[in-house]
Amino acid sequence: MKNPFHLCIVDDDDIYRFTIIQSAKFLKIEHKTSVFPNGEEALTYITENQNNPDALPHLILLDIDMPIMDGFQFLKAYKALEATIAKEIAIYMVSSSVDPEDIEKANSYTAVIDYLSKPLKSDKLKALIEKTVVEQKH
Amino acid sequence: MNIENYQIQNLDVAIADLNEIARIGYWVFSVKTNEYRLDKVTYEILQLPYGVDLNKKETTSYCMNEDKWIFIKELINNEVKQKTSFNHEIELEVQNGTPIWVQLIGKCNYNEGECIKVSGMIQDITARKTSENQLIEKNELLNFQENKAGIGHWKWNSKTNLVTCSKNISRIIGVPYGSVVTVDHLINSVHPEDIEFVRNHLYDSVTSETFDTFFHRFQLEDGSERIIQVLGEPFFDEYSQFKGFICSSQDITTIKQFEKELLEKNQLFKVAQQRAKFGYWQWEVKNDIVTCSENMSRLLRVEENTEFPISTLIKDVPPQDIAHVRASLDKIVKKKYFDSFSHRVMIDDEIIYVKVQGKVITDSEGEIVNILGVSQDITDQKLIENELISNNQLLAFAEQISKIGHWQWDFSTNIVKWSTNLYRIFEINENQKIDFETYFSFVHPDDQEKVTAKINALTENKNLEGVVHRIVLKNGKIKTVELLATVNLDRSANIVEMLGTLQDVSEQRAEQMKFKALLESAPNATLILGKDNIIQMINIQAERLFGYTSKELVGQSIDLLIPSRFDERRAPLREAFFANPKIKTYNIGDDLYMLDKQHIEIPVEVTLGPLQLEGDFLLSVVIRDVTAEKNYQRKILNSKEELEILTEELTTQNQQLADFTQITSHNLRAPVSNLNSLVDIYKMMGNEQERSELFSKFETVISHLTLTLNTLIEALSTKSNTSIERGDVIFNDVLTKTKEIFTAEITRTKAVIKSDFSKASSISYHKIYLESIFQNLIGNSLKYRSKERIPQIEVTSEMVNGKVNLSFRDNGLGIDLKKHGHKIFGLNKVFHNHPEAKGIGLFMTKTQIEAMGGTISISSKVNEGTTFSIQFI
Repeated sequence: MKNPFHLCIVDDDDIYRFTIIQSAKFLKIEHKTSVFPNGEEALTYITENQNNPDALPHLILLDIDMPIMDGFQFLKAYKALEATIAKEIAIYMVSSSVDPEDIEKANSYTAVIDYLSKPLKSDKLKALIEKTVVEQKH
Repeated sequence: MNIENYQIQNLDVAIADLNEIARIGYWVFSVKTNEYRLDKVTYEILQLPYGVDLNKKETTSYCMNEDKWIFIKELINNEVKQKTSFNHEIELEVQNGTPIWVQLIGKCNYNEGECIKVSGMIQDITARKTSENQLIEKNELLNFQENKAGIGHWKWNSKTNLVTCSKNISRIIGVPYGSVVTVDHLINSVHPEDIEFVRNHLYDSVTSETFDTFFHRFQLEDGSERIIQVLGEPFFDEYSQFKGFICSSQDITTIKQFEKELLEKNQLFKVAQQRAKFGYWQWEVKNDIVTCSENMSRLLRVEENTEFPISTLIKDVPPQDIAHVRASLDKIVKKKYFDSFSHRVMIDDEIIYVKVQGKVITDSEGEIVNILGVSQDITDQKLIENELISNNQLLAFAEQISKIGHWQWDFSTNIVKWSTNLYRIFEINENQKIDFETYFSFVHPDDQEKVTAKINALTENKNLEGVVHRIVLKNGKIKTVELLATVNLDRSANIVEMLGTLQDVSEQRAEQMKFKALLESAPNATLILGKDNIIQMINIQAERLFGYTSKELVGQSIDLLIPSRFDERRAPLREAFFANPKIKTYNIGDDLYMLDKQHIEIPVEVTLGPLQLEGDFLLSVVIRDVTAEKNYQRKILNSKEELEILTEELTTQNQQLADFTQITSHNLRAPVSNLNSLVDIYKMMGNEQERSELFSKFETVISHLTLTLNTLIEALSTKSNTSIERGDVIFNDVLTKTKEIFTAEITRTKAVIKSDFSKASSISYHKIYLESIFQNLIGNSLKYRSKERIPQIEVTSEMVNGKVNLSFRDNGLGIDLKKHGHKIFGLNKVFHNHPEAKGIGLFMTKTQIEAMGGTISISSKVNEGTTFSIQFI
């Protein structure tokens, strides 16, 4: 497969990143993973590759609480960039916060498909990837 | 004797004709024989029988007036003795009683120095004397008239240039009557300014031989001026030669002044005529010619400056007034004095009232020259007068309408007089005899004591007294009356009479009762104020509210009920109210209080209303006790305050709660969820190698979790520790200790740490907290230093508003506050991709500062440095 499923994790928590990468491996779905410890690095990568769809991820799992640039700051910057991006990217917010304020704020961004609470179980991750694959084929 | 006879005979013959015409007789008195010899004419003059011996005793009987005869005899005797001659005019009475005038002339005949006889003549001058006397009489009359009319006559002979004056002129110019004066003398007293004019006029008259009438002023001794009119006629001799002038000078000051006034005021007069609606007219009675002013012609609708008869002047007088007008005019003409009169005129169906005033101008003979009249439209005045009359009639009714009667009680005669209306009030016949008991018998039994007391008080104080009491009429009807009484005293202050008024105030009373009832039924305390804020009436609610009885308050000023501290605020409100009196709530500011009898302040709300009662302007003051409301309000305010405190507390707690939520979700939930995920992965892993690798992950998460929990416990204990031990902590000691801790780091980074604690060297604080604050902030500065420069750290203390401020400034990496300002002091927040950033230091620093009541703030610029400022309490 020339262009395998590209999962992107934006989170400063290395343990979390490790658990997602491990879970994805268990899914037996061909994919590649990219990780960014904060929003700024992720945004830099996307901006650099905005005209290169192959390099861009299919799915981003975005944390809220990160140093340098948190999830919301990333979304704000991404919103301004979205129209110029040559690829449809599914963004899910994944956070340990159960604060309704955070949830509401996350859902106010059209780019965010859903807000998910940590921990993200592997079957849930599987469903996300499958759903994204189906929707992006059209 | 012969000679004598001869002489007489000769005389008889010689003057026989003369004798007849001049009636001159001749007589001789012989001194020697004491005998009179008279000629025939003498006997005729004396109307004596011819030949009567005058010396005989019986002679006297012929002369009725004995004294004259004696006078004559004395004359002759004197003649003999003194040898002088005489010439006398003597009035005698002849036998039949007729008075005659004779001129008696006598002289002595001498013989050797002795007077031997007296001879003379006698002439009957009766006719001359009579006419002379008549002339004198006439002259007297003329003089009198001259005087009265202020006229003098003078005759000027142009040839001699001398003037003969009449008595009046002579008197005026101060020369004896009959003397002649020069023209200059005559005009000497003419007003200095007019002398030249008069002189010129007179000489011009001589030149032209005609005399034009002229006027000049004349100055009297007292300095007053008179105006003189001079008329003149030339006179000529038989050869028609001009001889001079006969002139008359008349004092016309009064006339002239009138004319002058008219002239002077002519312009004003014209305007005034129109404005004051009057016209001026002049009537020459003799020819019945009337001329009038412009205004008058307009009124009369006749052409200006035309002449018309008096009938035209009065043509608009209505028939009922014409007789009166005619009579008035006739009277003026007859009396030569203008009595003003009034009449009406009808012009265009409109009645105009005219008042006519004027003056009668007479000439020197007292004849009317003309009559000047001023007719004035006094319609407006008349209307006012009429109004006054009707007002008077109204006044006459006033007593009746106001139901007032008056009375008088004469103490000396004990007679009581009542006015008609008083009878009417008592509903008794006016013919009924009245004494004091009459009045008293009507007084209501319950009021008799009160009335008696007042009358006694009056008798004692001799001042005005008033009492309101009831009377019971014959028919049982009860009326309320107000009795006002005063007394008149004689010189020894004894009462001469008592007098006063009595007003039936039943209706007012009824109104008042109604009003009182209304007042009583009012739900709120109400005061009725009269002039000067004096309480006139209060209701039962007011009595209850203030604890005063009605009696105690009525007559007092409302100031009694209002604390004086409101005086200043009340004044402008009061003014504003009286400027625009309408019902309004008295808003004096936040709270108005009134005082009750115990001087306890009652919170009130006051509504003022203007009130028209018995014709007086009154003020109703409605007072609402707002104590209960105030209490509620106070309660609400208190609760509000309590709530605010609670809210504040809750907000603080919420903040802590929010912090805790944050901490639980991010700092506790995250490691826990990681643990869960790791457990799942662990289950899925079959490989022991992989599992042992995974175990190190578990250790990381658990150690992180432990640190977080420890921090939380520390923070919670800091926050809950309300009685933190304080002690004097010296900043320099703390800094020194901090430097010791970071010795390796400082040495490695070559950091320079400066300090200035000169403004405040120490603070009362928890020593461990302060050390922790220094370590965290200086540690951060070292940790987040810029690799491009040598770290510079400055610690400075300051005093701001008596409080210690401490600042930590570095030249490190700085923080983008726009991005991270909101979470800078949160737990586990890291803003740098720094391996040592744990996000605990600032969280703990803030907690330690706030626990002691202080605040911390940050200012920073990326890549320039950061300053933390701490305000201690």
